Amino acid sequence: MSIDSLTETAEEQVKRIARQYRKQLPDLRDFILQWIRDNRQADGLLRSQVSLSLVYALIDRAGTKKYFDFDPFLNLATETALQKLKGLGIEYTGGLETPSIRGLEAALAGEGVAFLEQQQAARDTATLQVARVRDNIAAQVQQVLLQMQVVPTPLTVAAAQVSAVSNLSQGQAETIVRTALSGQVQSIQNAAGARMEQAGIDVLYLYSGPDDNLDRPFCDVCVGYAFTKKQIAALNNNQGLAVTTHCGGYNCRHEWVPVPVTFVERQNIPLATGDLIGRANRAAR
Amino acid sequence: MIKIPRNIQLPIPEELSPDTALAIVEVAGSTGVAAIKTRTRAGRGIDDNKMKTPSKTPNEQGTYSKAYSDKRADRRVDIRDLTWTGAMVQGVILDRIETTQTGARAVITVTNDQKEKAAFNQVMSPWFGISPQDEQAILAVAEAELQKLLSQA
Repeated sequence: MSIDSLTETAEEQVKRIARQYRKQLPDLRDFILQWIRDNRQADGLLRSQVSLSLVYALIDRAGTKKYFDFDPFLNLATETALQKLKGLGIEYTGGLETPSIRGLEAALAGEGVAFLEQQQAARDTATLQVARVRDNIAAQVQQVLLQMQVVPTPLTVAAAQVSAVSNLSQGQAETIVRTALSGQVQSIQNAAGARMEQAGIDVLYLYSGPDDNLDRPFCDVCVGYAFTKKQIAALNNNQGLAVTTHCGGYNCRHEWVPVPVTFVERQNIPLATGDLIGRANRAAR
Repeated sequence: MIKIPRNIQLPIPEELSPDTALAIVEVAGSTGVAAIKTRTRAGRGIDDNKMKTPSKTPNEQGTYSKAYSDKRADRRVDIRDLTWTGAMVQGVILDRIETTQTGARAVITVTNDQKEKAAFNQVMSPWFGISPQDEQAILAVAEAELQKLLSQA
């Protein structure tokens, strides 16, 4: 896929969404298309650090933020992406904060470039070049995660965007985006489990996902069982990623599903044991 | 046609505090999410029957087209579990708990990045929604947890 076609795909997606919601968003299409035209560079790629902030602000200004229903995800995405990227070994020095009010104001007032230059100058004085490169990857992954919540974006396109601004191959970028996204969704589920626990409900976590020949040995042992939080803490996938949020590791197809104990009893789901945890940890070596 | 998932209603005793009532709705929502995922991964649709492929050239089990079935080497083809990377089924989440004029509501959805894929599969073989067995599980679990909370109070 060429760079031009990547951009065309993004533009087509925006057009389609705008068409779909034309009645509710009479002005959004023109706003967003103008933004795309303004930010498209000579190579045909969109590179604007405030792009999503701007889209966000435009949707907000159109009075239809509620209709899109992405605000909780947007905040959660930035918060959890920060943790997930740390878990993936990507260091960052800034720029991974939730889009700031000042950033939105700057975007709306047309000060985007000046504001970014100001931020960049501050960053330049505080960080090494290597850190900035990593920061760029982190920011790009964050932007892609946010983008995927607003506009349906194929993983290959999202990874191409990350790959274009980093020294990661397409495959590596896909793995990072997929793993970070999966960790983000897992965090949402873990939050639901935590809320139930706070309400005094006994919660177990199902290790749920496919049971086939592609499973890692670790996942093969765990899949289909219900675990307590303490038992999950004793698991080690030997991938350097937290089992709580990344299950078997990079590209893992499994997840933790929080459920009340009564659901586990009713469905006759087997409970994990110390022996099972030992086998899983040995299988991961 | 995309089939609309059904709403189920759970009567909550009036003497419950709002927090406890919301906790029960959260239980119902989380159970609904787990039930959908468990059922889908077992290859059963929203009618609780084994999902079949609409393909005119199905594999022996009738779960996927023969061509796609060959492509799914090392993955399951004996059931239609709708899993390739696992992201779509993982994307089923309890979106929010919200109060309404008459009670409270748990909203289950699919994350935005997986919605198109989910809608496509919903047309091919409906999977997202509350099946009769899901509904039984939700009601039974919510009732059991409600009794537990009441006995603790």
